[in-house]
Amino acid sequence: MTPWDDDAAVAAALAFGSLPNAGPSRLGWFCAQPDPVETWRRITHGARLDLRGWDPELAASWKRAAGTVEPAELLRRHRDARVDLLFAGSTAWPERLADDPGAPALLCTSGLPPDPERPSVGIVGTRRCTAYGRQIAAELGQALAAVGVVVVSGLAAGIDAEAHRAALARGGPVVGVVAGGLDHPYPTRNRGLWQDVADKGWLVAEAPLGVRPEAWRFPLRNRIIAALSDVVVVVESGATGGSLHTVREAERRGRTVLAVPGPVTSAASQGTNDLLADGCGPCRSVDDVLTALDLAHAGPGPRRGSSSTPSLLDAVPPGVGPDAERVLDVVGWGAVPLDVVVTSAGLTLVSALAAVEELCEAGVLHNDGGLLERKVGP
Amino acid sequence: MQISRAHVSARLPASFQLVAAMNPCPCGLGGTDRCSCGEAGLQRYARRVSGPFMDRFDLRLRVHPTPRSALMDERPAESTAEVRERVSSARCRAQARGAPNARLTAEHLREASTLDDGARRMLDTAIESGRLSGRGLVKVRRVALTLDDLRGGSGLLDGDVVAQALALRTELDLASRRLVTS
Repeated sequence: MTPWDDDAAVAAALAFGSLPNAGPSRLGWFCAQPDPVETWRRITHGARLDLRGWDPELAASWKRAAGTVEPAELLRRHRDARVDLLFAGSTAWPERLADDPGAPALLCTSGLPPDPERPSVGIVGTRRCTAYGRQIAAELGQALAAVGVVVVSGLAAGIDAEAHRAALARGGPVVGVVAGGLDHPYPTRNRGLWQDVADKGWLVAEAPLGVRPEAWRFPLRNRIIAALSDVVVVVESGATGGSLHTVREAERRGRTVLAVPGPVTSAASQGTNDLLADGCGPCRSVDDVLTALDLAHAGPGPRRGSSSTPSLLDAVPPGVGPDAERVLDVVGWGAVPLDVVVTSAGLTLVSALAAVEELCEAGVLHNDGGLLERKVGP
Repeated sequence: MQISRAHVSARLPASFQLVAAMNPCPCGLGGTDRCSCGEAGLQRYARRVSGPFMDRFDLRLRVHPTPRSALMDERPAESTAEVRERVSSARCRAQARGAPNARLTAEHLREASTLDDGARRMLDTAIESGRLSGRGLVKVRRVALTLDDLRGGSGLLDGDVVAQALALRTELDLASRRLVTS
């Protein structure tokens, strides 16, 4: 018998999780209280609590906020939205979180968890990614989905979204771990992707419904991504940033980390190249990931450039002329101004422009006000 | 310019050339890794210029920071006097047709210029893909005619000038973050 068989206790835990600055460790404290309902009552009265970091100011702010929270109503909202509430130690609790050093006390989830026997790979990277990063993320997402590996990511803009979109398109199992409540998609334009993950995979939050994805919640979210992944792949990362935080969380848990090499001139690959210099394993293709998962097929797998199924990176779309090929060559996988392309491709202005037009019409190139970038897609 | 409302109609003098500039993003460092703008900030910023307003600009371009190599290049660039020469002779060609290209009506534009097959195909695809509105088509044709005037042509618009005109009228995707790698 755990306190969580009692709706009032569950409602109290949700209510506590909606308070300002009630992060995972405080929620952990709350959930460990012998009588959550009584503890919630004390908070609503601003009573002294046996909590590290407790002070009268915190008590006052919680008392104020608690006055606006109706626990039973909050619980009903979760039930109406078909949000599953998992408490640490319950039968549905994910195995990978069972002995985790930073395990959450409560997960608010939507959708169905993947088979725990399936290997899982976290694909993470900067939101400030290049077309190269997006392409690699999409390739990995698709290739992992094709062999039934679970793709775990944070549903942020950039690498995260690209990996999940590709994995979903291939019908693979996905897990999305988000920073705020499940009803607060961030960025908002990923709303559709959130819904897809909830419909076809498993959408996971630590925070109850109604909690905004405040900035401090993102690094905390990363530890769950690391914990739920057997291997973490960093596709692109600047010299600092949230992805490197996920790397530290993965290393802390003994998870294998792989980094995708990038151009040494690219700011978006500085962090990943630094990881490689520090001895992190490279991710050159999905085979490196499968090897790290011990899933590699017998014999040497296909390699970039030597493969019978050519990588999308090498593909020049059929039917484009030689000028267009040269333009694609110069653009590579960065975002390159049109004037640089014209001068570097060794073409006349008009032939370079005609080639750019041709590539844009063919859907290969994106022209953003004269800034050219390859279009990305699995 | 005629403005008509329910009870009032006014004719106002208006003859101007509108040149506008904006930053790539709120912090002004868009395209570099020092840009500190968030997703929501970029979208808000992008929404400040409406689509219909943007559609009325004949030329739309991103201007990128000059690379260091070019800044340090000691070789003399083309002088303003030379450029002026080129521009005024093109302008004369246009005036000889009765009005500068910007003032040509769609009808006069059709009289003053012809599209060859390549140019026609190019515009066809651009319209079909939704890149070009009816208004945009006229504007691209005007710019193409100006480019033809600049090269001393006779009003036969081929793929070269039309491609250039299309390239000078790009869609600006201000809401997406890109790292310029040059």
